[in-house]
Amino acid sequence: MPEDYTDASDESLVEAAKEGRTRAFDELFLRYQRRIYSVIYHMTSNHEDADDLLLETFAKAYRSLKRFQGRSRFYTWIYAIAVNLTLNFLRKRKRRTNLSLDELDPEGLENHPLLEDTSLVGDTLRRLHTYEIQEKLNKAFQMLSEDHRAVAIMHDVEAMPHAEIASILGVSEGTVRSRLFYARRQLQGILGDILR
Amino acid sequence: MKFKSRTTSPEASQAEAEMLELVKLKRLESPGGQYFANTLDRLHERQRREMMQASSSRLFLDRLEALFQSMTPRRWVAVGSVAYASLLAVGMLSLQWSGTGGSHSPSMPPLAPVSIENPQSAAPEQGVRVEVRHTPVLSAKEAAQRASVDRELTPETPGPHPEQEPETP
Repeated sequence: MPEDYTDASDESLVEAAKEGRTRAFDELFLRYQRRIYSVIYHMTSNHEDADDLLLETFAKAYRSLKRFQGRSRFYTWIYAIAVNLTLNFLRKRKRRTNLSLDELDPEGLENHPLLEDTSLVGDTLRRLHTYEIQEKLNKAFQMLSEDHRAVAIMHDVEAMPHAEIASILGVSEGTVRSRLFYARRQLQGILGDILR
Repeated sequence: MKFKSRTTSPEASQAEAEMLELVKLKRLESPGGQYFANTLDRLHERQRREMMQASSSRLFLDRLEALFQSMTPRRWVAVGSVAYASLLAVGMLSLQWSGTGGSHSPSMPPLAPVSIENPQSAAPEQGVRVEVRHTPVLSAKEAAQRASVDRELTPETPGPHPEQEPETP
């Protein structure tokens, strides 16, 4: 009978995976794949790249699991692997070629509740085609530097606290706040024409 | 270090809030519903492929790493002691080896090296005597001159005259 890890804690799953029980690692993958995919996708704005980096992140985590000492949460640890792999990938891609808009993901925001909203954002959503908004958002994020983008995605999109971002990126909280300030200012400038 | 907060006008704050609302729309971007259905299978496939592609040296390093990680302090002490004893044994053997002058038996005294430039370098008490004879190389002209001098110096020996016919029995 296969072991059921559905209710197991992350810590016990990590210990079981370290002992060679692959089902425990599968459970960790199923638990966190969506959130890891999300941050990678928002940083790359490309589904194929996000897909590849998602699998690479978990494959690397599995290989390095024995080195995971449990000083941080498993989620923070694997999140750091994902962010660092993505940042390396983006730096290589930047050297190779600039991002083409054709590469952007066409998935839409079709039934978003803000469409019923009367605020400026709701009005913007009604005025523009959802694909167009998505394209502009992705383009705006791609115009930020990799470091500023990573912080803006983690804080403003993924709603992570400053301290956790600092721990993942290996920088101080002050650096995170400073990068966030400049990223927001840049985004405001780029997205200003959408809002007005 | 505390980060100094930047003061902004109410208009700027509202613009920032609107921008943040717009940015939050990115949370709704997600791949198609079936995308996550087979990601686990693809992860397994990728891991299998990586394992197949891993070189033998990589596998050896992985096994070595696993071995080191399984080592307890007691095992480290035991391994360290064996390594130290082995090194000590090798050191003593090599000392003994160099002291006996290589492959000769311990009963034979070691021989001193002989230099051609300085034949006396051979130890005289060992009864080794080396003589170096220099044979000068003469040119054809010098050889002819030396032959004529030799003929003049050596007494003539009776021999058959070139024009005399040999005696017949």
